[in-house]
Amino acid sequence: MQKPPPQRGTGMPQGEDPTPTYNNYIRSSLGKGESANHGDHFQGLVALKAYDEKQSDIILKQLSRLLQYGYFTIAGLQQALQVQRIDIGRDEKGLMRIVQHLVLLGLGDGSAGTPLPVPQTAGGMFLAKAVDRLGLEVLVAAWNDLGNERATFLRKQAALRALAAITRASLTSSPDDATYAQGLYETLRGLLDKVDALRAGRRGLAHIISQAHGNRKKNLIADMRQRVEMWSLLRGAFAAARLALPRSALYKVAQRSLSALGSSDPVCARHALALASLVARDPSGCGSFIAAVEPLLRHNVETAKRTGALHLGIMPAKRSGGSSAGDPTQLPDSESHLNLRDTWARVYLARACAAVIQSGHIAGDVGDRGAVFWQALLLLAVADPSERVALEAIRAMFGAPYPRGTTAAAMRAPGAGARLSVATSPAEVDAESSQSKIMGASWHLVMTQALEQPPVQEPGSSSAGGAPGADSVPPVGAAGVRADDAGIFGRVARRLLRCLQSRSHALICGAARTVAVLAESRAWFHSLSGGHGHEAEPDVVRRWMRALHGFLLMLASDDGLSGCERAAALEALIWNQDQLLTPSPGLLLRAVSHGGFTAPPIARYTFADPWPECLLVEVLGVLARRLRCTAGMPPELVLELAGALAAGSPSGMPREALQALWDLAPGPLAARTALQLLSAPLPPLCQPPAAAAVEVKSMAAQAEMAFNNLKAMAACWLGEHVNNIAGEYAWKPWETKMSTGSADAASAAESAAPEVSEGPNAAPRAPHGGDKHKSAGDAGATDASQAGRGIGIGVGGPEAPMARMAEAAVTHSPLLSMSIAQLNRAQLTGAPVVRVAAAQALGKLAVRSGEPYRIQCYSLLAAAVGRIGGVCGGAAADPLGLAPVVDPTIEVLDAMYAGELVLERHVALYGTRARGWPAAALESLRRRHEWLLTTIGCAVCAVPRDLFLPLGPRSRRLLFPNDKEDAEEDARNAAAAEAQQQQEQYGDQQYYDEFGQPYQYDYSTAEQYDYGDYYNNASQQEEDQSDSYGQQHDPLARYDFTGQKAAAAVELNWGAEQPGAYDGVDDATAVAEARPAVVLYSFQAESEGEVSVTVGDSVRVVHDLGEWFQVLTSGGQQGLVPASYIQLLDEQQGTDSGGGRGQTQGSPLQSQLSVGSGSAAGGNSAQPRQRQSAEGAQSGYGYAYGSGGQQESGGGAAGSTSGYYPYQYDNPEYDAGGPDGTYGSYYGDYGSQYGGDPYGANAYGSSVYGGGTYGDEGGKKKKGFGGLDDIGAVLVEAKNAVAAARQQQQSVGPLGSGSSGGQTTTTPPSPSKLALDGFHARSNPLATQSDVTVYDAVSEPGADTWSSPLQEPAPVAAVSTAADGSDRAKAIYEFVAEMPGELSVSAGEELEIIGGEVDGWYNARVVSDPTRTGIIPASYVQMQ
Amino acid sequence: MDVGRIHCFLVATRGGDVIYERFFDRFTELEKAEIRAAFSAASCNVRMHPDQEQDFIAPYKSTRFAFIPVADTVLYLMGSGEYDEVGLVEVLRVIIQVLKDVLGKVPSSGLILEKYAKLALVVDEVINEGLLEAVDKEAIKKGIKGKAAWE
Repeated sequence: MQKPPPQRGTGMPQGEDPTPTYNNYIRSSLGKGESANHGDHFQGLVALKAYDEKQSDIILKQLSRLLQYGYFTIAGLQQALQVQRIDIGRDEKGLMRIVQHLVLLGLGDGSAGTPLPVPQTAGGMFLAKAVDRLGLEVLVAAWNDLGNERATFLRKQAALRALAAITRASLTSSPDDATYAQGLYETLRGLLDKVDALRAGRRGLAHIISQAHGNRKKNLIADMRQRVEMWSLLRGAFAAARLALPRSALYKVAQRSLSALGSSDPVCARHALALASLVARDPSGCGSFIAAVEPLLRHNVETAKRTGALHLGIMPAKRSGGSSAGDPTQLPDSESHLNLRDTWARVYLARACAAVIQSGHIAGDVGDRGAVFWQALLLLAVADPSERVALEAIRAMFGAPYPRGTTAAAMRAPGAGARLSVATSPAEVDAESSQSKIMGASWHLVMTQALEQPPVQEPGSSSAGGAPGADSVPPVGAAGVRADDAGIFGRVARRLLRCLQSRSHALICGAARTVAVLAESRAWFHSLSGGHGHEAEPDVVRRWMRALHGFLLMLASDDGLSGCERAAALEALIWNQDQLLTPSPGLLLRAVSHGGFTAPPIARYTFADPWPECLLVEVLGVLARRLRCTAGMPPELVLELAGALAAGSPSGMPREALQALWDLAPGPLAARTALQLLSAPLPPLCQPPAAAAVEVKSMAAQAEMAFNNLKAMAACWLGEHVNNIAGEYAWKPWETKMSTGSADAASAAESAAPEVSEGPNAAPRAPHGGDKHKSAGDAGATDASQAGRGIGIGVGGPEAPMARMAEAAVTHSPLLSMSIAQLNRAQLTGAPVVRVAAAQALGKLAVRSGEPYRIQCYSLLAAAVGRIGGVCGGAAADPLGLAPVVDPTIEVLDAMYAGELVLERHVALYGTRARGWPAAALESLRRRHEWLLTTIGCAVCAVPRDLFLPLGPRSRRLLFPNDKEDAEEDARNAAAAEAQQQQEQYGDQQYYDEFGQPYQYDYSTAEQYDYGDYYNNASQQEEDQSDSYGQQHDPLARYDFTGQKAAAAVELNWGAEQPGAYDGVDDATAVAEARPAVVLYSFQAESEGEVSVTVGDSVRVVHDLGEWFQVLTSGGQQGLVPASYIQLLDEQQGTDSGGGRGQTQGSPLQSQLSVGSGSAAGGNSAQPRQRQSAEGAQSGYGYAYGSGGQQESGGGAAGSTSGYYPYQYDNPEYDAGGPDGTYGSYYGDYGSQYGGDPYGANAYGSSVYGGGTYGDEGGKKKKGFGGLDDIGAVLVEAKNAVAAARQQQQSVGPLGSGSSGGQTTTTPPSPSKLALDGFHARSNPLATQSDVTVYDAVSEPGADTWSSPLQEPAPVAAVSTAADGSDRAKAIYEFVAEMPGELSVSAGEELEIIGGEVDGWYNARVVSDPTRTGIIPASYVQMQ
Repeated sequence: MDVGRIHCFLVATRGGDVIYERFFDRFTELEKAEIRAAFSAASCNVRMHPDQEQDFIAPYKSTRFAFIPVADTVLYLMGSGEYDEVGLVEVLRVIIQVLKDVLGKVPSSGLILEKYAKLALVVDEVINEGLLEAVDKEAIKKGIKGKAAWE
């Protein structure tokens, strides 16, 4: 066994040569005593070297057995090459023929025999081929005979075959190595030259005829035999060229083939015609083809008009005898006409004729120059005895493209058979376009001739004709047959119908495909003629097309046929122009479920047999072309048919192909289809009967899985494309969207409401006018009933902001709203794979969409992972298991929202132009912008870096300042001021778009533009004047109808930041650097230098002295306090939430609230928002403008997530320990990061901040601010606000009375309430960091029993159980305290319940005596 | 020529045991096994009428194959491009007809195994490396004997 050499060229894997062995079946067939040893049989080959006639039978048997091995070894080939040279005698040519076969096996790509048992590991390997192992010097022995004049014809023929085989194999191994191909070409060229010389010389026809006249019979026979030999060699040459020559060389040989069209050898003529048809297709060669073929073909046609058969034209009247081509005694005048005896020759002729007619040389002029070709084509189509020829001729007549073969490598390619063969490159699109034009023109041509009579009469109608035979259609002239059926089209159609009625499956399939070509060319003609094509159609055409389609409709629903026939029938039906016979999705669903030959027999016969991938792709390809053809079937139906295919055979449906089809379709329609699929119920294939066989159930389970995968694909596709389709991008100006995409998308979505009927799960139909509130609710809801609740509970009255937001969303882009709702439904109710895909899609929508879609998606995502507590009551974190998918998106969105908020505040300080900003702040802004872009790209989706502004539209002019624009804006401001005056004068409002151009909301166009309320706020109007650009630009501003945003900005500004705050950074004082802290325990000063503090006091730690802190009390005293008595707020804050926090100058004690207590000032008015209720998660738009980015237990983003989200490693906000990172340690090493940065910590340490609490100690990991980078602070605020709001909301539920409990869980708190809570909390000077106390403090300032000095801060985990509200109750039994802390009450005493129930106990306070507090068993209490 | 090729010819028993296979492209053993499996899956339990030599068609990846049950065997032919269903069936019928002539009777599995070389050579004459070659019965019969048409 030879060792394999290094792989050549293509690098295809090659294994060790296997030892040829028999498989079990062949072993069992061996006779008694017969050897199964390869070596024994190989001896037969060796024995040929010393051939003995007596051993002839034995050798034959051994060689036969050798053929059974399935692999002919390299060693065997070498042996065979040696044997091939031996001449063992005339009688043993049969043995040598076997040797030649073995040589071909060894040289060529293929293999033969029986299946070779190979090790499993070698299954993917190729068997060794001679071309890879042996050099040219060895292999040349295979075709040496070609150079030998004396070699027999058979040897030369074998040599030609061997050369072609090895050339092909070499191209498989090394496509770029043209050694063998060049050799073959040169050989063929020499051979053709020799043959040409022969024809012109002694063995030419003229010479033979003259010899015949001279009656020199002996010489004549010898010459004619040599002549036949010459044709046979020529045949071998053409066959070799067709087999192995690359395209360029093939065209050169093809030019030479024109002279051999009249060969007396029919197979030679066939090969010559095959090559000549290539010339006919070539625009530059078509002329020479016409010149060469027309005179010959004219003879054929003339003869056919007499005899009725084009192919019998070989013996026209010169000889009355037979016409056997192999009989050399006959004298053919073959070179005067085409030899069309071979069936396949006529196939190639049909293609060539069509190519000529369609070429520029004839250009459809079939009445004059192209008459011969047209008549030949007609003869082939209507009169040829071979159905194969007729079908090919009809296809060619109607402009069918040339067939395209495939190769083993193409079949092996990834995705082979699963890709939709649609044109992608411009060249392909052009080719496809020209092909459709050819088809349309061909139809037109046939229509002009449709009623003409064919060149020959039908056998049944001719005077000498016999019976019509198997023709089921009565002959022309008989009763019931119309006269126009005798025309060309009638004849063609009747022939097709006969084929369709055949018993042969292949013929049915071929005929159906031919009808499909007819229908396609008709459709293209209608399309290209602008829909007027039908006007020129004769009645007979319409009648026959309808008849054919009716028959095909029957075939398509016939379960007895295989998928191939039905696919072809469907293909024809899809192209059908007749509305009555259009295939329905139901038909496809049924058709696709049977005849695929993929299911086990029991499933096939009892349940279903879905189509395989290749058939589905074929039909999808037809649908794709149908989409491009504008006439006939509407694109909606095309897409529905594709959906039916998917439902009929989910396992077979390749997702790439379906996606490709959607990509081709008009966007809104494709989105509709995707939505349909997303919300579709399981197809029948997934629901076998309970008593079905296990194979059936297994198949159904696979189908279900595949269908879910398709749904997931639909979700992915929606996430990727729906923004584009809806024209809604965060980076597109709102006004542009309104004017362009909106109307289309709205109208499309109007018609795009999925029609999948699923009862309560029916997809909502997008509104387009009518009742606004109803439409808002509908579009936002996936469940009708829940939608109602969403309206009633979540949105409330007309003043409810969510209602208007939802309404705005729906009216602006119904499609997007509907997609969001459907994706949410899929996210909540779908199979896991669908959930994940839907969540990812929602994430993409959230990032790419502007408001309010972003906040909607954000809320839905947050609800899905249980952050809001709406799903599963909030008890279980991540009830759907989506956290790994959703969390990265949420983090990104949090960062975007928080960043936008910070930016807004800075804009309030420094204006909207970059020139007003400190350089450090701008740099920080850029860093934040870049980081967000990178993170979005890594974690969510691709966004255009040049266009997308994650920090909001305001950041554009800051990031990309433009002097020209600034100048223009100045001018506009002046104009705006003037306009404002006019406005004041006339009460009219003028708005400006992004580019400063005034535009007018057109309220007369109803709901689309109904945002007027948002701008009615007086303070907003003022802002409009001062910052019209920013106001108009901020998408959130459109929805900031409560006016809280501005208020919140004031509340949350970072201390008394003023313009210039970043200046003077060198004047940092110790006081300014003081860190906020709270006193845990009261401390009495005992010695000098110490200072007395009381528990709960808020102080500033000026110096950290280890065990002692030097503090600054609120009274202005400085002194030492034991460190253990002090809780540093910034430290705790950093530990808990991972972010520093801003602080206002005027209320230092508010810092106490910053941890977990929920300073809601920022969040409640600004971007991060959430949905609160379980129903809200389903109902779509019951949003609460509270806050966002809430983390369970107040856990900081860094602490809770940085461990497993890789993208956060680059996040400066979360990079707590990486001082060497690109952005430095954000909270950590200020010394390295901001040491020389005027915008860094020192800025905040300046005296400007007075009693500011910004901790900053160089080198220590302290938390602080980083200006715009300090998104964490805002996040913490927002999250705390949410936590507080949630706790309050939850507390109302369980602790409230029974009657109100249900409602509170479904009622999202209104923004105003959240804001109120937040403000209360902030204004409470006695509140501590305990979450519980905050709301106690709100209700009863100063009476907080949970914040006793000795009490440790409540564990965060307890927050969820210890409610912070209070409620009235009544003791129904007497309870006597047994343990300290318990509350003794008598029956009937009024109680105030503080917090929720904990382990069956309430914390209560006696109403009549508030000093009596304690815990009491819940069963002793009745809530009131 | 990219207009079409014959990729595979295969003869198997009705039970699925492969008697003869001829691949004309360089497939891996795994791909060959897949093709055999597709043939077998398509033809198993197909309602065949042994005497009628009904043709059937089925798809495999981007190709088609046709099969015709003859006696206790099934003959398959796989092709693409111009070798579509009708063409494949036509070629199959040529092979079956010549086999009947050459073998003297209907090609059964036992007969084929016995006259294995004849089957191989008939196929070789009809299909030359994936290209349809001879269809004339007499020419094929002479070809497998190693004789030219005039000999």
